[in-house]
Amino acid sequence: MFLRIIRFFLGYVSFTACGNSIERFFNLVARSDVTIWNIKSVFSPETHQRCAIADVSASEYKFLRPLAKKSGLKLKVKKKSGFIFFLKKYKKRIGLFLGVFVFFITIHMLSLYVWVVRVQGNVNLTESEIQTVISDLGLKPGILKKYIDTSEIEHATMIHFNNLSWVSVNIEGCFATVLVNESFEPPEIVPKDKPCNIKARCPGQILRMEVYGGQQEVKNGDAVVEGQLLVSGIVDDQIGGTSIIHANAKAIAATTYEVKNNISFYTTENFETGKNFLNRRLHILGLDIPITFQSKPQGNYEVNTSTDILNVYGIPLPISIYKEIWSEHDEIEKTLSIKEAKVLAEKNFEENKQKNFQNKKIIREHREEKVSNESYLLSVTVYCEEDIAVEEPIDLSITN
Amino acid sequence: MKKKHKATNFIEKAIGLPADMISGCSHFEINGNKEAVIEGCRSILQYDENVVRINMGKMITSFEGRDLQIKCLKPDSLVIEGFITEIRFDN
Repeated sequence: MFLRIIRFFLGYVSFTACGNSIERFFNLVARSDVTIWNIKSVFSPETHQRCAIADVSASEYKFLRPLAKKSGLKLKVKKKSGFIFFLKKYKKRIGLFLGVFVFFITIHMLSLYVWVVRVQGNVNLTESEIQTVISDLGLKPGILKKYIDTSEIEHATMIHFNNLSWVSVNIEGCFATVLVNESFEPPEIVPKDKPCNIKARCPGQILRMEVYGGQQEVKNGDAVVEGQLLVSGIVDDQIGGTSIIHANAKAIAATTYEVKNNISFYTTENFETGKNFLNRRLHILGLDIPITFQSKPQGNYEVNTSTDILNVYGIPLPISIYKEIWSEHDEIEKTLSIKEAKVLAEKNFEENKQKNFQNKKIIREHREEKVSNESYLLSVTVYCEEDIAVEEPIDLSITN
Repeated sequence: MKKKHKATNFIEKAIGLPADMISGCSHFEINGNKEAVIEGCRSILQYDENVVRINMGKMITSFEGRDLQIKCLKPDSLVIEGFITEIRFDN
């Protein structure tokens, strides 16, 4: 394969040698240090002679003529192949060579820039948020790679976003990949070696206590208020002394929550009128080219934006279309029936429950409805069972 | 001459070298019946698509078969390709 490539670039000639002493010709060729290959022996019906077809490198063909004459053979070039002959064929077409030169120069010039900026590893932060910040820091499509200071961008991005644990900017070819890792805030836990009390997080009635450390201050069935001491970290021992320890306990209590949902019968509903305006911009190689010239419409409009990036086999190209859809909205007054208001109130309550009662065990719910001339009120009393223990460090400076 | 030949043969056998290392006899490599690489040839005596006869100095080697072609020809070596059916050595 490698030999074929070399032969192609250097150029080679396929020739026929016809005559009676082909073998002599081959021996002379071999002795004169000329390499020939793909030698085939054929019989030519036109000349009624034996012929040999073979290939020789373009630069060595001239050495074959005297050898063929010596052997009484007639040499004839059958085909010229290779890159050199291709160049000779088009040597008068300067525009073609100029085009190839310009092509390679353009490729080289384009490879000096960053054309695609990708963000990976983000969970809570959106890609556009990070893109905006790094764009302000100088990393955006269409910037020269030599002007990008990756370490400075990394530091500045870390400073801008408090919830990032690390940022890495990698530039590979025309792609800049910003890898981020978001940090999470650990729950506030009093260290094991630091003394603390256990207090009530919210009011409730104690159902059972599981004390792992400390002195229990309330009994099962006691009603407690928010902030009340449940387990003390200051423990009296049998000989009359006191020690301050890290209290640890679970306090399972019955708690009650009241959730109210007031739905007015007279509401205004926002709806789309169906009147839309589309604004498009072509973003190519860092340039913004407007396709439509629609200015921002006056009135009650909402805008939805999207960017379609051109991909080739999953590789994003620096060509994208930015779309802005302006849709007109209007408000209409609507009167709800009691049934509709009830459905809406129930829906709101369910959403509230999903959001706020995730870590609580709901024992039962008690619903109360109140209908007035103007609104529908749904009051739900939720009876729960939950751990209300919360650690609170003991301030030793006050104790002493 | 014969004495020298015997001496080189003896040395080759004593040291355990391949036969062509010192005495300089020709070297064949045959891949199945499709290809033969011959090193140390002097000249081609006959060549057509059914037979290739090569002068190896001390002997003449004939490759017989079908669609025989010389893949590559160099000053002291050649590669024969095709369907080889018979190899004959003549003195």
